[in-house]
Amino acid sequence: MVQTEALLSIRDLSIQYVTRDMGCCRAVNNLSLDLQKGETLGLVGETGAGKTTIARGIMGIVPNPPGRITQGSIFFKGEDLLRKKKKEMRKIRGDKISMIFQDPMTALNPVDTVGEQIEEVLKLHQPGAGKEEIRQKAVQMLETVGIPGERIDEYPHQFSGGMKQRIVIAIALACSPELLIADEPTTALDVTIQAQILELMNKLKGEMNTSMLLITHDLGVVAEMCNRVAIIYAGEVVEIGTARDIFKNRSHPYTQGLFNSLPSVTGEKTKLKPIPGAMPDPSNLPAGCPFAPRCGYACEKCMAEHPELLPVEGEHYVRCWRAAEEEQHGIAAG
Amino acid sequence: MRSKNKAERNLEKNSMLRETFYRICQNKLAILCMVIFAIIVILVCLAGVIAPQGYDEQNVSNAFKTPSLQHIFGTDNFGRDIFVRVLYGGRITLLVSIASTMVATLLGLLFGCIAGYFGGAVDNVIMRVMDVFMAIPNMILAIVIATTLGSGMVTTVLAVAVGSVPGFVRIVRAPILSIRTSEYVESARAIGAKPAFIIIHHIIPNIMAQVIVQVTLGIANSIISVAGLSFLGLGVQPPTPEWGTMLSQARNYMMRSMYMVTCPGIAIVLSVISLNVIGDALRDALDPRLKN
Amino acid sequence: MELLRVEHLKKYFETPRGLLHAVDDLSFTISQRQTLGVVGESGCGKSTLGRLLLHLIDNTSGKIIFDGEDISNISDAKRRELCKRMQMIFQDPFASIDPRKTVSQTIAEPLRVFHLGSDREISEKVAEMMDLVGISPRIRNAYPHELDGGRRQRVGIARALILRPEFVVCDEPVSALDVSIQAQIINLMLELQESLGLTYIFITHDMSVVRHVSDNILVMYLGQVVETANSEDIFASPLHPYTQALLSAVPVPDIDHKTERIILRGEITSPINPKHGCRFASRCIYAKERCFHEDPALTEVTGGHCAACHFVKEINGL
Repeated sequence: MVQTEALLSIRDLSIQYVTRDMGCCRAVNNLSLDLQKGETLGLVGETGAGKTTIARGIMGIVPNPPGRITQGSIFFKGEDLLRKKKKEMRKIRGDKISMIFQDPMTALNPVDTVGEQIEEVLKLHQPGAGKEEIRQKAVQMLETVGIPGERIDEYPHQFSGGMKQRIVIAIALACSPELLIADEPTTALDVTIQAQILELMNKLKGEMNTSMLLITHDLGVVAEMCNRVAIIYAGEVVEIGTARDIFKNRSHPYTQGLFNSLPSVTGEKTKLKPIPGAMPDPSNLPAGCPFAPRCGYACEKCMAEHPELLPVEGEHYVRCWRAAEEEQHGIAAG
Repeated sequence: MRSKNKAERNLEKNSMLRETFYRICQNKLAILCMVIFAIIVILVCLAGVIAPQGYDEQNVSNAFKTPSLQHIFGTDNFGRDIFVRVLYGGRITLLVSIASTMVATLLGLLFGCIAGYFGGAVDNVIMRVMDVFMAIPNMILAIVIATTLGSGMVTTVLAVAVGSVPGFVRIVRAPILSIRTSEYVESARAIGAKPAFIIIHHIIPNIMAQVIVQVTLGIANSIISVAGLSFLGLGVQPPTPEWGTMLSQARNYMMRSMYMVTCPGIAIVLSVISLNVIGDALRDALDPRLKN
Repeated sequence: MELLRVEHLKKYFETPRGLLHAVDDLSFTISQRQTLGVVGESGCGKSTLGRLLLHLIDNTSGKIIFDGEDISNISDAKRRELCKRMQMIFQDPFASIDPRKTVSQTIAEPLRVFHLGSDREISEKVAEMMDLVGISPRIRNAYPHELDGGRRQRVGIARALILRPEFVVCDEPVSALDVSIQAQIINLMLELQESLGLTYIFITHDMSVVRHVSDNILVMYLGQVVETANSEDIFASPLHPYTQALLSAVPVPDIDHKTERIILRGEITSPINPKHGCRFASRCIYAKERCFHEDPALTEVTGGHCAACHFVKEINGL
């Protein structure tokens, strides 16, 4: 990957969970990612791929124990977040980097009014501001996410699910963060509400020029929101590229499998082609390519050697021996 | 590293019992208490072997002896060996407490399951009756029952059991309320299972953990109640030795011999404390929130 | 041939704030070996409908006619007998299996409930069923917490099918699963339908899944049917404004796919003591005065395609 002035760049990050029950669970393995300013990067993967752990790693909230960052660095505007002290991280969290969680029902504190919860972040990160100023800012944030300002003194249970997620977004964006991490922000919502929230997020992102790391399993949401996409499997990037690369020129068999598994609302009704088998146990990853046991093209090399992330074309990288070789041949032949 | 993980996982593949056992093994205090309680139970069970002569061999000339090799806890006012009497007394105390806890557990399971599973009016009636029992202090309830039915072993079992039934009903009912609405119970209804089948096959196994903990703590409580009743003269009658009865008799000679009081006292305290610690350890080990 | 007919089925729940109209006047039929897809968002009463059909909860009023027999007010003993013919596959494979039972115990349970066969026969049938749904015999003694979501759902399917029912209510059977696993389970369910001659009612919130599995589709909104037609018609030409909004809201995994998205505004009407009028009116972009006080009836618009909207013709230019 090119070393440019990335807003966020993760290098060789590995995170493990060590528990008695599961042994050593390798949730994230040698992961490297770059996120440019103003861009939306989609992290796509299935349950247990390590997406949420990556987000927690960036936020510095990996539960420890059992979680442990074993190696790597996370540069945010050139500074390594992993070397920061707890106090410094607290200043960054919620101010420069903030996060939207999956379930709006549990992300809000039921005993505080929504106003108090928005004001709380503002007070923490703008200690100089006066009471009136903060309250005005909170009202303004509520209105930005499409909730009438006069509802500021109501409690979370007085809002519907979609409204709650708007409030969560208001809290996350209150300090105009430079990086927003959204962990499955619409998974718990109905489609019609999801459409509203996605529209809102796109609009606000444009207005505030926030970069976004969007974690999701829904390729439809990715198509709608993301400039670049990284496909995560067993804690590592198996394919990364622009949205066009991934949607039109997917190279990794896992990415192809994901798309073939999707029933579609449009076009022909064909038989689904699922990926056989299941995700490998993160406490017992295979020696070679982690996808090899499920892969239709796997050869001996795939079983034995762990593939590198190799370029396909431009910014499009893939972690697959076969795809990389094919590309080489393609170039040679062409 | 990898092979070790595999071995570890195979080890616990089999059952939750084994996992629970492993967890308890990490609690050193619990192990100590289990050993203590096991020793108490073994000694008490072997009373007939250790002291074949029986518990009421009197020798007045030998009264109030301090501990010696012959009588390791000394002798009492009739010259009877206190150690032997504590052993034989333990038989009665433990038997009566365990029996009364079992009675309470069975009744508690029955009423708790019915109340929790069926809900509505049935639940209301059962729980209000339990509230009435809860309103009366256990000891007073036991005294009333014991005085009405006359003293004796069976009465003591009943008297102590009745007082602890409401506790069991509550412990059983609470988790059932959530298990009842769980999808696997609904799924059992969908395959055509009758309520009794569902209660026996799905509900009871899933509340067993809580019940086991409560049984352990319940026995500890019963020991105190049984000893208390006997101490008041309403439980097991002399000359049958029982820890409470022994304490009660020893009261009169407290100034002459400390061993008559302390030995049954220590026996009670050790059993109760070790059972309580074991119960707490079990609760921690079985608590699903501590999983992962 | 018609297998199930539902007429004016209603289920009201009593809540502290009033009567919740979970299922309000539903009528439909399902033919043998067909799949009826029921779609709607959370709270539209689709799960309640599934439970009503199996009598896991009692209905408030209305009729359920299964194979020519009215089963809407049957005794509990009769209901249990009926379980041999009607079964259910549950949503959450993590919650619908007793955590303390092994795979084979879970699958064998229906047979044990009805005392069908000796231990040997039961274990043979279980082995056969496990083979049918693609569970390796290796894991017969595993506990649910040792299995992944896909395998658990296979166990749930095996358990539902071991009594060889004719009619299966599938309540969001793939919603809790990852896409790659979801496709495995959908294919399995379609294969089983073919080989065992099953009739499905497939309840889901996922438009793309329902299109894939269903012959006919019922779109529900707050306890009522707003539109019903065969699967192609619903997706090709949705008539009701709600169905149109719902379809346009589904994110399509294609970056070149650009649709006019209909973003719904307004708040969802409360299903508790609902007033007269169309329940979708508060969010509908076409709503007029009449929509707020007059109930729209489900009427046939084109051949077999019904919608419950006063202005369906005007909206769709018919």
